[in-house]
Amino acid sequence: MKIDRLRKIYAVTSVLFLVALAISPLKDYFTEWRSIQKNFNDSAEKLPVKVNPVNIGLQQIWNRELNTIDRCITCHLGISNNKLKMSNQPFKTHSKIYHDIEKLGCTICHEGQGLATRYEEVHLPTEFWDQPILPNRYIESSCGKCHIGEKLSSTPTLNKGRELIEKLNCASCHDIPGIKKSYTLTLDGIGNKVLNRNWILSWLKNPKHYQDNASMPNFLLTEKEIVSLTDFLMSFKSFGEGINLEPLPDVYHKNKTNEDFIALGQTRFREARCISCHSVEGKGGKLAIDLSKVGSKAKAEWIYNYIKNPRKFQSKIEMPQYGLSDNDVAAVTAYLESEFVDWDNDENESRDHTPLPNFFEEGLRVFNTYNCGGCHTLSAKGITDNRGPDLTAIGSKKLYQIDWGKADVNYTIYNFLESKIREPRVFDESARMPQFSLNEDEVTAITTYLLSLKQTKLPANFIRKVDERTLNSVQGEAGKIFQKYSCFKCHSLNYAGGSMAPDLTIVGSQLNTKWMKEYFKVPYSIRPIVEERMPNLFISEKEVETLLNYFNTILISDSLEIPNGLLQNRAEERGKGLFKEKYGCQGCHIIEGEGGYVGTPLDDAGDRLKPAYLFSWLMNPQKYKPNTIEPRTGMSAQEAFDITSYLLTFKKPGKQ
Amino acid sequence: MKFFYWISQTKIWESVFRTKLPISTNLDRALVIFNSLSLHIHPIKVRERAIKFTYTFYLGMISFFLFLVLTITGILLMLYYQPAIPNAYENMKDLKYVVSNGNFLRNMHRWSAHLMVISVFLHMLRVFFKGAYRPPRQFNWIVGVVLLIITLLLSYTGYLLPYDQLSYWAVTVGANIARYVPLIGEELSFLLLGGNNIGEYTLVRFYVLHCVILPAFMVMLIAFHFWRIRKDGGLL
Repeated sequence: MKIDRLRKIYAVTSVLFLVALAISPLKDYFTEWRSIQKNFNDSAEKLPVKVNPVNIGLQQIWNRELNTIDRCITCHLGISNNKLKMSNQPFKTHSKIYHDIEKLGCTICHEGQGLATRYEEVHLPTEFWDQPILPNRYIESSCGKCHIGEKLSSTPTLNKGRELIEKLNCASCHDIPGIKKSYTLTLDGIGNKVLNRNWILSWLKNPKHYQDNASMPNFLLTEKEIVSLTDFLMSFKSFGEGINLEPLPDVYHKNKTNEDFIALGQTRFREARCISCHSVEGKGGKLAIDLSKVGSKAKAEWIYNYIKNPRKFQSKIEMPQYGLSDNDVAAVTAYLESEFVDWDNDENESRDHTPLPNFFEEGLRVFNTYNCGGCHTLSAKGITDNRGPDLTAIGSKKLYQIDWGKADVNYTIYNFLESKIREPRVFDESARMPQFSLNEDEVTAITTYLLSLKQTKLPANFIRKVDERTLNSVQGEAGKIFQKYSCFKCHSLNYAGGSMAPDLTIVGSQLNTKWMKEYFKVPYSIRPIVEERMPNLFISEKEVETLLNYFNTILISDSLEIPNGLLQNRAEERGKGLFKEKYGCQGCHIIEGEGGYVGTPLDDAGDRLKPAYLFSWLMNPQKYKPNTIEPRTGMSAQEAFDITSYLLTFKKPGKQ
Repeated sequence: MKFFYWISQTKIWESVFRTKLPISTNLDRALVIFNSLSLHIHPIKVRERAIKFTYTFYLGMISFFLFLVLTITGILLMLYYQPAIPNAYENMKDLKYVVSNGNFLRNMHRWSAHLMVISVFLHMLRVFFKGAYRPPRQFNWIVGVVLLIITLLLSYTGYLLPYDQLSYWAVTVGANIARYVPLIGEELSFLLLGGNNIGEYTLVRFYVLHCVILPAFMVMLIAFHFWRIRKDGGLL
């Protein structure tokens, strides 16, 4: 009897034990990815187009070079199947990119846990994986891991982030690889530049109040800090050794209220296209400060001296030194003094202010605390370099190294960066980082760029880095002229430099010397629909000569030539037919007064362009300007030659 | 039945089981116990109360059984494991996500290890409170203490093998403790880590300790422990 009972217990426990053992294989079998694959095969049958079903089983991409294994394609079955463009995730086709996704793998760009096979663990932050899938708005940061400093046309957000970081001068407080501290105004002599301390007070309170596009951020200083810092700054009266303000010329004192004189100033102001860079009441360029209230900010004497030679006061300022005469400069000063005044400003408010006894020490303390010296130079003793954290590898900062304070965010690196950029003191009220006024797109762009700064050991053949030495390669006399007129603020050389004006790498082979000479005298907008044009820099003839020599000897291409053996006779006539009929060039280009407004007018093509360049351009426009919209028609060499011959007949009368 | 009888008379059966069938005398019964490896852990004569469950709670046997589970699952886990960086951690992920029943194996190994430490400790308490450490069993008590230490060392060395943050810092702490040993502290830590820092050699060292050296000692001492039980007159 007893034995029977024992046997029964033994039998029951054995069965229970077997059932318990079956749990694990069953769990293995009824796993998430298996049902997704079955789902794929079921839905593939219902599609109008034929999609092959998949064999049920784990799939993975193994990238030997990166040493990554990504099992994403177990569920994302349609990534390289063009028929599934309209499907929903996880079966959707991958958007078109330049890389072979089946070789490269997924996590190199998208992050997340490539080894995992369960939704939460692949996509979301979990206890054992703190790098969840990168939200799509930051995806370009992954491009930046390999394409360092390359401004690719397919990474607009990343490029914008880099531009913003350069513009906001983040490098003055943070170490950011590849980004140099940009030049910011020196504060030497500021006490002698401004009319009175009111301006500094209101500026420090919030630079945006004075000027909407102020590049200086708001340091959220307390009232006490502002007062002591203002008094501290006002005590700096000297512009530096041997640099003094020249007195205003007599002609200014005599004529400063004379309307003709002011009108002359206005004309010069317009001709020099000051508003290419400066804005006036919000209209105009954004490269330099707004001039609307400059007359109430700076002394007339200072304005006069500054226009005459900006680099005397700000050694590396990008403002070019215009070749204007003293009389012209005085007229411009008079114009600025009469028009650009802040009518609300009460000048007499703080005449009787006496600084506190310890204003200098206190001001210096504030100056150092907020690392004002990071951007502005000031010749005072006791200024220390008090930088912020190094951002060299901020994209791979460990989450446990971050002090999250009381901020209510999910703990991921991108949330940290985004919150910090949007509101720098959100994690810690005593943080020093100033408040920038950025819109959400800008916050995303900067976050994207910072996320690209990773401490990953990618194979060397993955890395594409832009050589930054190009711009400094212009040496000698020409280099000095380039420097003086800040050419690379707008133009580029080998696609490094400004992006506003044409690339100058082979300008000597592109344009006729004579035409360029004329252009320097009166620059105009070549395309009718483009408003921006080169300002009249009043470059002297000697300097133009030097530049043209440099263009014609150094900035040329040896590979431009028209092949021999092409039919020479009646080329113009055939060209006319090809231009007007076969290729319909007039859709975009104006010729003989008719045509579209997108391309350059070609009525002076014979004056402007060199034959070999025009020919080569027609054969392959993208070779010379990768982002041009002119189509590569695939025309034959003979056709290109005919069109070239036709276009070269167009010359402006009287310029032979 | 006839077939079974024929089998029991073959040379092979005889050489394996040694006892002549059928068993009819008391001597035959004693010989069955005497000739069997698994049954002769108990002495030939056993007190009835000593085999009651509430007397020993089978703690020693449970520990041994867990050791067997650990050995079997451990060997299976070894098939998927490379003691290298970063493979070690990726192997954990593979076990979790790709290997059939890999997670089950790993969990079995892990929970058995925890339970073994607990059961070995309880076994020691039981022995202590029953006074079984007293002569003539004093030597087997010492063997038991060594077995407890080996159990703990096995746990500790196994802790590094997943090579995640938890294991890294646990071993860092352990190595730093070793550093405080007087006179030879530095050398001991160096020996343990195979260098000044935790790295690939530490991983290999811990792997060999965990899979070869410590289990080998364990098996030898367990055998010795069992043999002494019998020689010291059975359970007390």
